[in-house]
Amino acid sequence: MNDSTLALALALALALAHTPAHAKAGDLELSLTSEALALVSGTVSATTDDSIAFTPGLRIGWSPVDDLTLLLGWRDITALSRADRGYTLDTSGDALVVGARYSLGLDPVVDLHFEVDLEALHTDFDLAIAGTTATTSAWGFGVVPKLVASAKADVDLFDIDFRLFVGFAARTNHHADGLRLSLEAPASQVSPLDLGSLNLSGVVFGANLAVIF
Amino acid sequence: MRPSRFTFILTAILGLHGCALSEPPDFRTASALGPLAIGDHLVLGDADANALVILDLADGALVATRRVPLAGAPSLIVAAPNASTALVLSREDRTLAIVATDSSDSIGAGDPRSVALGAPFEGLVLSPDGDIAIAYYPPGTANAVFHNENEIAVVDLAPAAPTPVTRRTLASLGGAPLQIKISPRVGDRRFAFVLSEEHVAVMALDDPAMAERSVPLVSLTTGGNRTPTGVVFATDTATLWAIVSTEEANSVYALAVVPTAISEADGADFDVRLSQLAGVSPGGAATLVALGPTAARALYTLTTSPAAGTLTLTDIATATGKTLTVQAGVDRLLLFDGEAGAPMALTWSSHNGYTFHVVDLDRMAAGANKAFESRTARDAFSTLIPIPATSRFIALHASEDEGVSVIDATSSRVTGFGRTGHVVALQLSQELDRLFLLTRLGFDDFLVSVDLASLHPEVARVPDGADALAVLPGVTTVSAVSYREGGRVTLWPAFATADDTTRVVSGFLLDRLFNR
Repeated sequence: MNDSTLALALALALALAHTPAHAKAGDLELSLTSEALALVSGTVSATTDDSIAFTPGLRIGWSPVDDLTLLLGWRDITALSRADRGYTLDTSGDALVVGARYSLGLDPVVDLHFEVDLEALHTDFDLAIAGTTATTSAWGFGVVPKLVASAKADVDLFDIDFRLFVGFAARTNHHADGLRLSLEAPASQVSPLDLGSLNLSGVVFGANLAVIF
Repeated sequence: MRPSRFTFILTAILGLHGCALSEPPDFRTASALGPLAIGDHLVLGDADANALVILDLADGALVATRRVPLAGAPSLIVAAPNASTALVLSREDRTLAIVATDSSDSIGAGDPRSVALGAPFEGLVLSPDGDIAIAYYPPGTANAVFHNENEIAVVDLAPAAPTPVTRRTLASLGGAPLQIKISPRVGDRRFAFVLSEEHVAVMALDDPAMAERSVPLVSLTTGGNRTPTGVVFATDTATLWAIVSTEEANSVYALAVVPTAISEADGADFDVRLSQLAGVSPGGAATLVALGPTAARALYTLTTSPAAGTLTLTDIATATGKTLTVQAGVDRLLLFDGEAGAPMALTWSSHNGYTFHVVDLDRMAAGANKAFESRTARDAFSTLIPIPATSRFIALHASEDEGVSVIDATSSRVTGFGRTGHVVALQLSQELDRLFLLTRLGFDDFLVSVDLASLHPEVARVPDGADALAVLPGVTTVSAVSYREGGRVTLWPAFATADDTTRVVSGFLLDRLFNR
């Protein structure tokens, strides 16, 4: 077992075995993430022109022990739209994210981290064809391991941490069935449309700005 | 540490493109093919997705949507007579795919069900029994370098065929194929008639490699070449008869295909004898009909002469005929079975849409009195369609409001269906004993279902309109198909076509869009 693994195990053991009386200054963080997602599944060709989605997020973190931060937040998936082939399909999603980040502690200012997010992703599909529309949604789940590089600035009352990261989002399929296009005739029964399964896995990269207090 | 100021760029767009993207299909459904009612399935082509879309239906509802991936974009779909196979021609892929409509298996390149034709044909004609298909270039489609418009491919669709495709290049004689018709069997043989500009080529389909016989269509009385427009067939023991009409309609030809000794010159073992029919003036119609008792049926030509207003029935064997003076201008001719199965003809003038004539052909052949009756409709009609085994006809009117009625030839009674609009599509189902119409009134489309026993119509609105109509008697389902974006199929139970039984399958061309 190497030093970093040992430190992570100790931190987890401490976090589980010992309940801290309070969070001391510097244990909490609020971060804003700007993230790009380069999709890798062939299922996305009908949803986007360029296979790139924008996935910003907002998270809070708490560091129960040194070098380990637990994260809770939200991630949005936007900029998935295709509208030039007789139909318009907008795909968007919101994810509840829980995660953990382990810091290697290389330097007080510059550091490297391993981070992993677990997410529950709720995706909406909005389809419009020739003036008629249909909407459906589906749940999916994912795990997003990342490698993070950070630089810290010490301000009077808090620290500011700027991070760059790259990772891979491995996600389960979202099944988009049950779309019912609206019609003028209300008496008609409309059979639902099944678009199939969409996979939003892909390479993630971006920046994160955190305020630690 | 002194406080520092940072400027952050929140989004790092690094130009990582195209990990997964492929060009999506074009779902403008103008390129979709069909619909074809094949067995219990509605079959459509999705040319942009290289697939066949098969809708499984039951009593007016969609059971399943299936897609059969193809090696190339479909350009023409033809239903085989076995009601379980679709033949899909792909100009792009130069193949003919043989698709079992009960299966969803993909048919890619090299699949034994995909027959390589070797040329980008766009036309396909099928023999009545479905055993032979001929791919060809319809006029104007052989438009690229090295496309020979006289090239055809004969495909043997019989299951045990050892060499399924025979490619042939016909002698052009200065023309190119306009249409191809396959004859019924005469004995154990059958022939393909390739109607080309100014000549007809006759091919023996039992030996597609055998040299064809080309018959120039020259007026035997006035000279000059003729352009064929259509052919009808009849058989007479060992002889196949074909009546070929031409654009220059005073020239109607009878072609007799007879067996001969094998020619030393080209190996062909049949000959074609040409004769020009008399009694046809410009604009007339012609057909063939077999009359007489079953044991001694004789073959007759039936022709109209608009200038003289006559109808002529000529025994082919004896060249003797009977002529009735009916009405000046008669240029439309239909054969149908009367109520007792008697051979009947319907003739009228396309320039006088009120009067029509019902001819008892047995009485005419026998020279009996009252061989025909003239009837007058209340409203002008543009065409008449016989309802089989009845004396009634569907009359289509050139009207924006009342586009259809039913005329009873025995009583001249006309039954209208109110303001239905003009007829966009029509399907007559003998199995269901119903007439189905897709009509358009202003900006709204309607399905009109007429019970042929009572002539009672039921009307249902077609939500957002439709372009085509298909009836599936096996699953008692009527469908109206719209070619708008994404595709739309409207379904009804065939015996309950009302607004509250309407079901819509919208966007079916997008089905399983993510997983193609």
